[in-house]
Amino acid sequence: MSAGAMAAVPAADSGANRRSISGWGRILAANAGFGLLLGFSLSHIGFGDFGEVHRMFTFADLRLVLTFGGAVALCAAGFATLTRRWQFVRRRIQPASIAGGVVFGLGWALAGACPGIVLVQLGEGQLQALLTLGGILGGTWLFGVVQRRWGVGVTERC
Amino acid sequence: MSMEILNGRWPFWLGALALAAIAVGYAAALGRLLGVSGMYERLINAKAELATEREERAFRDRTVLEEALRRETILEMQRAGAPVPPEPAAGAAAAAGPELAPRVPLWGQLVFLLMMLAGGALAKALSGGLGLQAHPDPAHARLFGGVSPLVLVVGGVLVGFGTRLCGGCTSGHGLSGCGRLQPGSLVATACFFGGGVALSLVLAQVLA
Repeated sequence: MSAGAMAAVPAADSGANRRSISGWGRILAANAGFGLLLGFSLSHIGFGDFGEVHRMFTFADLRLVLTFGGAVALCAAGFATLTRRWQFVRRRIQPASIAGGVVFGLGWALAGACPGIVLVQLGEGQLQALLTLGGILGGTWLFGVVQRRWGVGVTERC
Repeated sequence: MSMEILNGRWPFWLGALALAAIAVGYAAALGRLLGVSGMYERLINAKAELATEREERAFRDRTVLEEALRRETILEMQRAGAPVPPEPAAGAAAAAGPELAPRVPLWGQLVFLLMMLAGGALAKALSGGLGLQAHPDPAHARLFGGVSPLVLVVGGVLVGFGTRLCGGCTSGHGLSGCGRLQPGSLVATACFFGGGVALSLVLAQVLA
């Protein structure tokens, strides 16, 4: 086999891999970097503090409401300009959007955590967040059982 | 200012900027939307997820093999002087519109979740308060008293079930979905925020 032919085979191979999985280094860097940044930010915003979340939901303190509202507005600007090269899933309104949203909201008010926040609470050293994490994993598993049996839920999940 | 970033609560604009940069940056870097509750679902179904990933890898390998065979065949035909079939239009699909990125592999999502935990620990460590607290959150205990641990479990189950029922949580619907003005996400976000407000107002009236 000539040197040219040997060089051509790995080049074609790595090219195909780059197209199809965008490279494991990129996946590692993006997930590790953005994960760390999200945990760090949420802790400083105060989303891991039950008292702060309760004051947000009762409008006793508007800082977290403004933080979330401001983030959505900035996301709208960012998605409109920075991610045009990608195609994303569309999210239609379905009965489960309403039912699931309300159930999630009730749980958030009770536990003071959403799926991301519970990890921040654990990182902060709040050991009782293990109870919340157990509940969330149990609820996620329970939904899988119910969904397979009765087919409930929205069709496009993320 | 720099002390404020490492020490204590952020003003609303800084928090908003950080959350938006993370949600948009993640999508721009990987072509997939950030959504934490979806990561939980995939971890719960890890066995099936890994089987799917193996199948996709095998399919990709076969596609690469077929492409190499096709090229070799064309070279062989050229050497033999036979008429060569036309190249398939490779650029046509890419030019038609934005591309659909492959899913983030399961290990990448596990890294994300573990690093979120590390981020919480880092924030606490840099502000000088790292340590384990076994006692319940004071505000939670004040509201719920002795049943506080039970309330955490029940609340957690509702969070896990509800987020999967509506197909997303604060990150997937609230940031990634509302940011793209998706109707389903706007409705789900209004419902989970509204549900949280309604119950919290009742709890504050009844229990406080």
